[in-house]
Amino acid sequence: MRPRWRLLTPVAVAAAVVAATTLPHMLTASDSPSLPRISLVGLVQKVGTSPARAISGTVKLSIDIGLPKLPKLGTDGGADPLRLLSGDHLIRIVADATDGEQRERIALLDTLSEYDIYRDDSDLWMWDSTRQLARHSSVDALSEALLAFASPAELAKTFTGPAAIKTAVFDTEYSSEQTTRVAGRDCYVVRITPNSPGTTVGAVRVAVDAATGLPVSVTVYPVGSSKPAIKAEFESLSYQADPTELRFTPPPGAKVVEETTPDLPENPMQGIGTGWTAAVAINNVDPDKLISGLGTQNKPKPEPEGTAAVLAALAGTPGTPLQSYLRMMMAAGDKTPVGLVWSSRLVSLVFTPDQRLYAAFATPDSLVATVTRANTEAGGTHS
Amino acid sequence: MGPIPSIELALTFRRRRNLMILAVLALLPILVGITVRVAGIGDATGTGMLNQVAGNGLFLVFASLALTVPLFLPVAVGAVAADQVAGDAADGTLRTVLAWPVGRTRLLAAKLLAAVTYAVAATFTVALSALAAGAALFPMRDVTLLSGATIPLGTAFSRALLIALVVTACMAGVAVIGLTISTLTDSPATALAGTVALIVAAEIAGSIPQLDAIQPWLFSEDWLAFADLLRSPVYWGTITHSLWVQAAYAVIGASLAWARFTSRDLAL
Repeated sequence: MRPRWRLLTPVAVAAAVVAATTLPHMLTASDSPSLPRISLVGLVQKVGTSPARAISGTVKLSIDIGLPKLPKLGTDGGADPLRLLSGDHLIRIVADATDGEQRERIALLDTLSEYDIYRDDSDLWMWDSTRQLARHSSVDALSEALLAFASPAELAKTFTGPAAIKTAVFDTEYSSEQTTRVAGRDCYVVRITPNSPGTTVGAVRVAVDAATGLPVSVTVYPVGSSKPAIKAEFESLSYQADPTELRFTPPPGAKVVEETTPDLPENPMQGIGTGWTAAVAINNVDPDKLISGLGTQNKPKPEPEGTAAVLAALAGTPGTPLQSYLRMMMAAGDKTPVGLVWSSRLVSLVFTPDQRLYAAFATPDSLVATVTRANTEAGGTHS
Repeated sequence: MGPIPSIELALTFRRRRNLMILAVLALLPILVGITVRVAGIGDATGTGMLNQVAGNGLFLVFASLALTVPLFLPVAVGAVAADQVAGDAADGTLRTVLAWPVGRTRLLAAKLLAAVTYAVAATFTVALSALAAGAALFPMRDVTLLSGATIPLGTAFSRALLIALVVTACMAGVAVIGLTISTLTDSPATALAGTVALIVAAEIAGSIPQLDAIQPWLFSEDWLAFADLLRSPVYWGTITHSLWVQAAYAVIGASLAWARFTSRDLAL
């Protein structure tokens, strides 16, 4: 009898451990603080108009827009912004605009490596710990837009900012949900449902800090899916920024590359169309240069070794696994009269022969129509 | 210390095989250091931390741990722990030992202590050998963190010690798992194979993206999180999570080992 009883002990211990790990989760999940009532209009206006001048925190970002997930290959390649295309990521965000200048640090915390972007007003430093490489350039429209992507607050503005509200207000439904807690902050929750055909966005859920109006969690659901395509949420958040953390000087021994921003003849990015299916066009995109220049200098790379070599051989293309992956993605586009078309759960891309890349939260058909319309309009005015 | 823990410790650290494993672990960082020195790895020809070894000997400690933590260290620690009970059962000494006027719980605790002490010894063998080789072969200077900030050498030493302690905690988790498997079988070969298979299975499961739902709960998932101590500011989230996961596995494993060891019939 006694031995039998003893064998039950590990079962009880295991059950206790499982209970101890799951119970707090279940308790916090149903945690909805009581907050003063706010009108829906007031709440929508509150989003993105945060008076917070300084923030620092860690964001958990999950991207699942339908691209195959990249396997974790240990240290190979290291942290790289292009990895943000899929998978789960940890990002540290520090921003300070208290003295009139915009200072930011966005750090991708990856296993054994880190990729940092430091912005000091118009100065831009990109630090790659794997290659001990510091690239120095200035902020242009393209990097400005890319910088905006990592933070939930900025991501939320894409859907709820003044411009977005102006264009989308007529084909959008807003509703408020139960309150919630994110990173220890009491939050209102807004649910935004697009009401226009052609968009791939099913719903957007934004949690807004009740005290400051800062969006602290954004979840984007594709049409007809309850699995988020994008989820960005602060894991920890403070309304203070350590000025020493925002300063970057290239460490001794690191390679420093001065990059001059090319004189772009026109605005590299422009918006096309209106409402939820509006597209963004990026001019002068050279995919080959983009892929081969991932964080490295444009000099011949040494032959890949180890796992990278095996994967490269499998993929039939030279380069790191990430580069092979992107080349395969390139080749997977549909060839249409307008250009190469890619579609995913959330984003559609069109790459036209005149080196323009169009992206939209729209179905491929809708985006192709937008691009065709833009092309005929441009052709009409020029000729 | 009572006589039983000291006997078990002495048995573990006097066994020639266990000492050979420590010697091999000590040799690994030296080999890596010499390779970096001779082959001239550095200046972005290697990957990750190996790049920085040539410029700063202290990085040999971090790089050696990063190299050994995924396989060499856990297999070494697991192999020794897996032998603790099954080895004694196979060569018949377990029956002799159980004839002593000592409770089985105390005997198991002593074996657990020996296995965990070996995990500490194995980790610090790698770290100290790497430190010595790094200091002998390369300059030692202020450390560039992953974030690009630089910390003085003194602070870097305390970070290195913290890193060794975090890795030790993870390896102690492996020791408990190995000992648990050791109580389940009388064959040391089975215990060894089972422990190594479990480690490899956990790491394979951790590298398959489609299994991301269970990955946070694998004991091997955050073994490399020690590098978070080389960030500015230090990111504690993953390390804390990893230590809790190790503790959970250790508590369940130890209770299973205790239940099995104290209830099984060894009076044959």
